[in-house]
Amino acid sequence: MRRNLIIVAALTALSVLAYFTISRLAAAEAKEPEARNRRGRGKPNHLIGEKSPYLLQHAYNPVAWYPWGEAAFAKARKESKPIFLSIGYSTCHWCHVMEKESFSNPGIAAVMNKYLVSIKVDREERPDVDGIYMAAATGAGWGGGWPLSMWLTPELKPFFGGTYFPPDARFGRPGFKQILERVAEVWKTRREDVRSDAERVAKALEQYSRVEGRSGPLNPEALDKAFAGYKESFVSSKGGFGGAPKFPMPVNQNFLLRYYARSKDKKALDMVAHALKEMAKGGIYDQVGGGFHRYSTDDKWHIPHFEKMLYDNAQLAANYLDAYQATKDPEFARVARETLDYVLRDMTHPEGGFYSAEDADSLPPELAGKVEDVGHEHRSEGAFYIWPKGELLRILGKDAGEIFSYRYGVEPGGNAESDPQGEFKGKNILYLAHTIPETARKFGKSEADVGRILEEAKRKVLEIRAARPRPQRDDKVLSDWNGLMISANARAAQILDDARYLDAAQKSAAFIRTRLYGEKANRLHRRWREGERKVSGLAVDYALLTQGLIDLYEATFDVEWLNWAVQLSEAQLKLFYDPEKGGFYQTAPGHDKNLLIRSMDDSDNVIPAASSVAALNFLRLAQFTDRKDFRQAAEKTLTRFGAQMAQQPRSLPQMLVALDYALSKTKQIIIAGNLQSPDTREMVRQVQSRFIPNKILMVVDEGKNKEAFLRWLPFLKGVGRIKGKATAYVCVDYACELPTNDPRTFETILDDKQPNGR
Amino acid sequence: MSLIARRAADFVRIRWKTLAGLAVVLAGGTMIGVLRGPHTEDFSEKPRPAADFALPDLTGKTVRLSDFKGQVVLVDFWATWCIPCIEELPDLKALYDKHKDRGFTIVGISIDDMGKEVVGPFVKENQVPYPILLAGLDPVEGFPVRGLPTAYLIDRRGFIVKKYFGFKFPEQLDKDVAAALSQGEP
Repeated sequence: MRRNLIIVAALTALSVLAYFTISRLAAAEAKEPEARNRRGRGKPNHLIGEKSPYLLQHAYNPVAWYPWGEAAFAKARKESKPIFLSIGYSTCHWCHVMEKESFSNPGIAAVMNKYLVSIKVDREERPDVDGIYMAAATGAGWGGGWPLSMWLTPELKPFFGGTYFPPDARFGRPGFKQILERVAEVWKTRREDVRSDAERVAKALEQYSRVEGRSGPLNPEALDKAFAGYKESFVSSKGGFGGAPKFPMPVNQNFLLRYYARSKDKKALDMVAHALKEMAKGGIYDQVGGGFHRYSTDDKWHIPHFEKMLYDNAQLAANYLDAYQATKDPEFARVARETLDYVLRDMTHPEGGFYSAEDADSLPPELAGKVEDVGHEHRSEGAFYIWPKGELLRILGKDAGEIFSYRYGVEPGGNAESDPQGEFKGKNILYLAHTIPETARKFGKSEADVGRILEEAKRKVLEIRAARPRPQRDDKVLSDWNGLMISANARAAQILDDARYLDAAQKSAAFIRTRLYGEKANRLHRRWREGERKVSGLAVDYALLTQGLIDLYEATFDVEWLNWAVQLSEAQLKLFYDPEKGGFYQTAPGHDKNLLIRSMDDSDNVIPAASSVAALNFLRLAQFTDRKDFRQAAEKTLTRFGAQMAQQPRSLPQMLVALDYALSKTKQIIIAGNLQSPDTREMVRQVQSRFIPNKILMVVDEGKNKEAFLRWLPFLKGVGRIKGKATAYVCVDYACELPTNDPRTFETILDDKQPNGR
Repeated sequence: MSLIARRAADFVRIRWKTLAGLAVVLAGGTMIGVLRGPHTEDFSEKPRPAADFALPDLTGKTVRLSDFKGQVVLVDFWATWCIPCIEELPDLKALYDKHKDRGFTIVGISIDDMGKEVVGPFVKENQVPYPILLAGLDPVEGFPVRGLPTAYLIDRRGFIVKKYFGFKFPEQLDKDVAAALSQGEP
């Protein structure tokens, strides 16, 4: 066997890459100290002209980093050097570690600069690049996760990779230095072997990118099978599905809530309610400031990794809103509100766009003013969020402090059951240890009194916390993540009837429209920061923004948002759709000629696949506009993944949501009325207070909204108020109810009961 | 034919989708058929005489059911905003053309609140060949309507033999009309 020695992994696995491999990747990301930001020290590298906060974190490394682009590729070709491609994101813990240990190390940097052309990519800016090399790494058996470390030929074909490497061999991993030297050696002595390995990986990637053999008819049994799988993996004592580390995975809740609406199987709702309650009780939820951290390292949501991601908070808020609609339990509304309020307070650009993430690490408050807080040198995990009991007692006074401590599980010596990095020593991660009644009993007070004391205590703790050194915020604005947040705010406006959320959703949509969208060309961009927009929109940008706009229409009933959703959908069909087999490619043709393949996401991860989101969008828009091509695109897309849904339903929970919609008796609810008048608003409220996921809701008045709709739906001419009162026209399942202007009759219809006829 | 192919075929006509209704299990566990969704009630065992009605057509002329005595009549309640009604219009036109010379007619009764103002242009644009009457939202005695479309099939003797709720599947309707026509053919 004269196979390349450094390439130890089996390459054959790539073509049969399991559907769900990628979904496990997120779990592979690790934890540990942090990287150093050498801003202002020494000479910057080629990243200095970038806007990505993650790339800028590396701009003063001695490594001669290049951004992804022709300058780097040309240099590699010209000098016949392999490329080192390193992909991460600003809140990625191990990325910081590797930055600090290896990329800041002048000795290592010298080796890299001598033998390699080094490229840094922010995966949040370029999920397309990330997705391709992640597929290669996992498929080739090199292991996936972030930071992703890949060695490529000058033609960008990968021949070796991995994730985090320690500078010297440890944790049973080879050292980064050794690997660098070994790569330099084999590139010099056995280049043909390396190239032939790279060819094999590239070929396997090509095979993988075809997304073949997954098609099949639309089968409702896939929904039952998925449900059975969730039931099996449900952890009844601790909430959620499976063991540690635990990710909230909002798409799971999306599916189960729809399944509940379809089957009326209470177990589906119970599992969601339980999972959401346990999450909201745990340390994964920011008990004081609202919002969710990214995941927990234990199996009961207690000890989180503290980074906060916009996509989690947007989708979880929506989960809690759905659960509130389905159960009417005000606890879910509270968590949704607090989560949205966190985003509005801490994660919103003054003109409405939503920022991306907050780091896990920050300078511990006891070091504030004592050390210089540049880079990650002194920062530690969760420092912003955790408390010594003594400090809480000082802030709150002994009485309230003890009540607060009891309620939130605060202990004198700290409460973290596991603390691998020794960062939580003597400190407490707040979680709901005791209920209000328990707390009231313990302190011999009324529940009302205890409730008041705790509210006041929370307010004080939040105020003190706000003065602590903050975790770094990744303040780039991404189209897809903003789409998720527009949805969440629009849903909140519908369900909680709070104008602040409506305003936030509209402002963000307008922000994206002015800064990330070109109306003439009808093209979307992906990323905005500091006045610069960059990266052509990917399928997932179009899909998630479109979803947000449809939800925003159903909150504002301003047809302009729907109009834009239709425009984006047309662009999507043109740019990403596979007209032959259905499904949406991640990138448009000509997006970036340097990508090895044109990939199509085939699993719903923390962020759902573009095809899944698009399928549901097109089904909904087909109803709003009577566009047959929209309906066909949705059905074809679902068909492309029909067999995958039937065999591996849990790899595609969000696509199952679209499948459920396609197979169910969707309601078309049209309210003829004027939103300024109370009778119309009351009818809208009647719809929004119910969990009816498979429906479209339109309000048509005699003004511009009706005019606009008439282009799509000429039958609306005959839809009007009866006897001057708001009137509902409901069609479902090949038949229409008689129009009604009676709120009681309307409720009967919404509840699927039979109204009296005439 | 695969499920998806069949469904795609459906959509040539039925744009505003959904699979036909599944049976609903009511309390006690008895399958009593669809609560919603298209279904047919058969009165042919116990036909009852249809009440007469008198309604204006688009020109203002009064038209009565009794005007069609001796014919098989499909009395079809519909509205311009009713999506399934629009979807099935081509089927109804074809049915009318096929059987009209054998003593069959369709009488469409619009329940549009806006009446002639919207029904007139609709009928013209869609070239509806059979008589259209305007009932507005007032009930027509003897013809209860719970939702749209709702249709009654009346035999040559003036007896109601079938009632259809929701989208009418064309093959079934064609068979029913043919059967009614063959009974007591002059």
